[in-house]
Amino acid sequence: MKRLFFTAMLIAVWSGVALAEGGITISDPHVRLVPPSAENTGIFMVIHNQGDKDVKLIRAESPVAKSVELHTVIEEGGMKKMRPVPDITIKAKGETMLKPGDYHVMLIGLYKPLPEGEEVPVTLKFDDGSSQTLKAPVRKIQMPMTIPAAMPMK
Amino acid sequence: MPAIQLRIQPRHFLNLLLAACVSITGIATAAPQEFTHSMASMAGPATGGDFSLDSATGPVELKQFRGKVAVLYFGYTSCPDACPTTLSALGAAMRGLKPNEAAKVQPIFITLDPARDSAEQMQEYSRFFYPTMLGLRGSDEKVAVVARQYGVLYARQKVDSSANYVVDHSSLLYVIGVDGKLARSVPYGASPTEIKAALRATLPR
Repeated sequence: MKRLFFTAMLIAVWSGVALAEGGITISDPHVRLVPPSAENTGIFMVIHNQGDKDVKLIRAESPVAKSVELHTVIEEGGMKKMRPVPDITIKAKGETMLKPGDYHVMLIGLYKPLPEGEEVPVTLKFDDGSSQTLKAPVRKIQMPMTIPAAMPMK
Repeated sequence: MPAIQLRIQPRHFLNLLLAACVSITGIATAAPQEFTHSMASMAGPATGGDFSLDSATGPVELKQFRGKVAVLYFGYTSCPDACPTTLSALGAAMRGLKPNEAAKVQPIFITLDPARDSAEQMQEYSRFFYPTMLGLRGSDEKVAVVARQYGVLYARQKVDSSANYVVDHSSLLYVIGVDGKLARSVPYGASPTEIKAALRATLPR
């Protein structure tokens, strides 16, 4: 079962990479695993732009939630704030990483819980007219970042 | 009412003022019964201390955990990002402790969105990240008091999104010593290893 799952995940990831349209490729798409009662979750990925012009991701669609939006997270006044954005730019010959705490595709109002391993269909639309449909597996996400450790309180 | 001391740097003060203004605008333009008690919790010194909130199985007081280390996180279940990230790291930190250490640590998740988060939802959400994590809720007023005790900044924010509103909030983990006093805070983005170290540093040797 584990091997089948692993193979399926590999195929899912590679089918994402293999779809290259207008110089845009997507790698490592995945959905964050959240508690069954959670209504929202995020889809993350790296978008690569091999073309000569900047491209914008302008829309995302998925059948698993009532609403799919593009979001970012800003930090202001000591608070984390999530805000919808109209588009996400991927610079020419560059890449943009959609990750926790940063740009991401937001699934709002999940119709049902998404268990670990489930393949979530996502369609991404770009301002150059291209679009890509891929499957993002639900994954438990861990943040390995290291930043300054605990500060003692006075 | 005790005077709240505001020790905020000028540049942060402007941002807080802006957040407060935005939040108040949100209250003024929204249905009064929905947003009456929503307010930006102004940052003050984090004094910590006891509190009493509700869980799915009855009232819970922080002082029940004297003799243990308690670790608090404030967020909400519709939280798209910071909460799953931080609680996931906290769960991993707990699993990294030795069993006798983990038995002496009580993780607690407190909702800043009692309008949408029931006690049952809080319990189910919390247990997903660690089996003994407690999910607590209280009225807007009670939560505001506890948030102020711990210097938590938060503000309900209407967004042009199907999410309707989000709750902007500061995202620290508060580690409370066995004596019930606030010992240290852990910043957002800390790895499970760093959180584990903070918990170990607070456990009695």
